[in-house]
Amino acid sequence: MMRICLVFLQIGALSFGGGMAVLSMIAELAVSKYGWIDAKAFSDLVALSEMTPGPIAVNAATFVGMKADGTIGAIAATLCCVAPGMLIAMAMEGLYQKGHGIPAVQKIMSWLRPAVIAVIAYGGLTIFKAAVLPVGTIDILSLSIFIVSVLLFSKTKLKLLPVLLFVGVVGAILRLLF
Amino acid sequence: MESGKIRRMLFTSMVRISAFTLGGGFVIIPLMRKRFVEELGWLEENEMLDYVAMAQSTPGATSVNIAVMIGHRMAGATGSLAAATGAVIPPVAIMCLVSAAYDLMTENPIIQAVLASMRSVIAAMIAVSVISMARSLLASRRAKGMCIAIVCGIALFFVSSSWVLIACLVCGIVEAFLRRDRQ
Repeated sequence: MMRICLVFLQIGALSFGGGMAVLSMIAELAVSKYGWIDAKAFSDLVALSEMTPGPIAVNAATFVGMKADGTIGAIAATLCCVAPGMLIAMAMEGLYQKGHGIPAVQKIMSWLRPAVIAVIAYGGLTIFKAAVLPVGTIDILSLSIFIVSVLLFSKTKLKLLPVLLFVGVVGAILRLLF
Repeated sequence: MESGKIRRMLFTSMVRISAFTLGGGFVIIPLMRKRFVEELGWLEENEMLDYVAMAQSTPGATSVNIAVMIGHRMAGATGSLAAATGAVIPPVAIMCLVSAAYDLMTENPIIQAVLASMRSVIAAMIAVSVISMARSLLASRRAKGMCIAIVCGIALFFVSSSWVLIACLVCGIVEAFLRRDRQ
């Protein structure tokens, strides 16, 4: 238990570069070094992270903690995994509030903003491909849902959640009928 | 707004957002932007992007770290805690349930059909978000060009987004340093 906490503190503190970086650290530590999960469970973990909400780091910590020590292990591993990032993020936000009027900081941020928009756009492209071109050909129903949703979000002030639930259910009914 | 109410809103907003972001990563950011910039008006468009950039250079899950920053901004350390707890509870709970019912989820046609439809909605929401952010923030020609070049770089040459952000950070620091006298 103690060891799991230490390993996930380490993963939480050193996992720069997002989900894939976390998975490679999990493979190295939880599979090869400590043997908490085997290779088959690791591949399930990757699939489950894709299917369930939440960041891969959190999904992975929950899954490995669960396998190693049950629900308590899942909660402990998750807490340890997010704690280091939280502390650093809080410190950075404090600095940002003090510094963001300074012209030099604005200059630096003006380089970063287009990059962030680009990365978000790429995330959108990935999910668009998964939704509309699931097997390489255009899925007409998904494309129609996409277009209707674009219109809903750009022309109305509707919130995300009602649209998501309504379209999710209506789309599912249509998909199962045709 | 009193701070207790802000903390409750941070928590409930993050619970709702993180319960519905399949795939994680950059999919959750437009959802957070819609909630905190458009619906609640707590942040400016550019501040949201600054938080994303900073959270990317922080270890750990980017979305949790953005939630922590917004929480800190609105209600200090306890705000951070409220937002982070909200962000983490749905994935932990769902993962615990799902790892028990794994086969059921992958094979159930109804669940698969709902998930497929929701994916299209989220893709649409991201498209609208990106256009709205690009309109308000990509004023200069350099910024537009950079943005398009980076999307192509990531999509076609699999450049890692962390390296792109680090490179931009370095460019920004160099420019700020070279032009410091002229300000």
